Amino acid sequence: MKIRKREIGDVVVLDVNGNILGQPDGELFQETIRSLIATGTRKVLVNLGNVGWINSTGLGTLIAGFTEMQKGGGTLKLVAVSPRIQSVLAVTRLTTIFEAFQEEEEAVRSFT
Amino acid sequence: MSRDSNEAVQLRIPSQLRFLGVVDAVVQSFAADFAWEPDDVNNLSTAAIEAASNAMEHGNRFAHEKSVSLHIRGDKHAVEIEIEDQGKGFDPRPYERDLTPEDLLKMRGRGIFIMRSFMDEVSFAYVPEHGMRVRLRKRGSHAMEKSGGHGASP
Repeated sequence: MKIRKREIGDVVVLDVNGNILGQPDGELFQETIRSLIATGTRKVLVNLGNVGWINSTGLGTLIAGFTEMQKGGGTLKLVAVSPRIQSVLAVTRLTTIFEAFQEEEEAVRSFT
Repeated sequence: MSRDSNEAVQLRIPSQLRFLGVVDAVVQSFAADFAWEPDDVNNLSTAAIEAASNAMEHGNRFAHEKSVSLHIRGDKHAVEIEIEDQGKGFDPRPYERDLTPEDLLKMRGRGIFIMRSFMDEVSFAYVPEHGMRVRLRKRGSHAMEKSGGHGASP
């Protein structure tokens, strides 16, 4: 898994590339979130457009990022969630905690 | 050409998460000609990935000398996948339950729930001198039959 950072105003977009599986992906994601919080970022949008699938450990990685961001006073949202990943989020009821969008523009606007 | 006969694929992969991509590719390829709804094929593959992840991590503890075996068989009506590790086995009963609101933000513990949600049948058995064997079975809904109003296949 690779993560690329972009900024749109005060929103940091994390473009995730590859599948979210477990370690070392989890540590990379957590480290990225921690460093964003440390540098004052409070709005994070995770772009899953290039993530083919996710397993339960990968869900744990997203949840850890979400709670870390929440503890830091920020928000983490998802964009470009494929139907396959959406199914996993829905069945585990994680759609109730993750705000997810299809379009990046709409997602960025939702932070304001 | 569509396949109607009962075919089988066997696969043995190292206990490394990067090989889960192979599991996805093989399961998707196996079911490709069955004209199932895409969601059914994806859910079948997601469950197989989940079982293989568990086998690598909890069964084999990522030991380099241990592998995970998959046996995939079936036809356009249903596919069965057996996933076997080389570990000491575990009791799945504590994980065979619905998720509660308290589970929502937990980092772990959703694997078996995901398998059960996406499959028609899931069973666990410890095979002495082999390891834990997880059996997944899914019946497919056919895209054509659904659009033609005939409902799901048996």
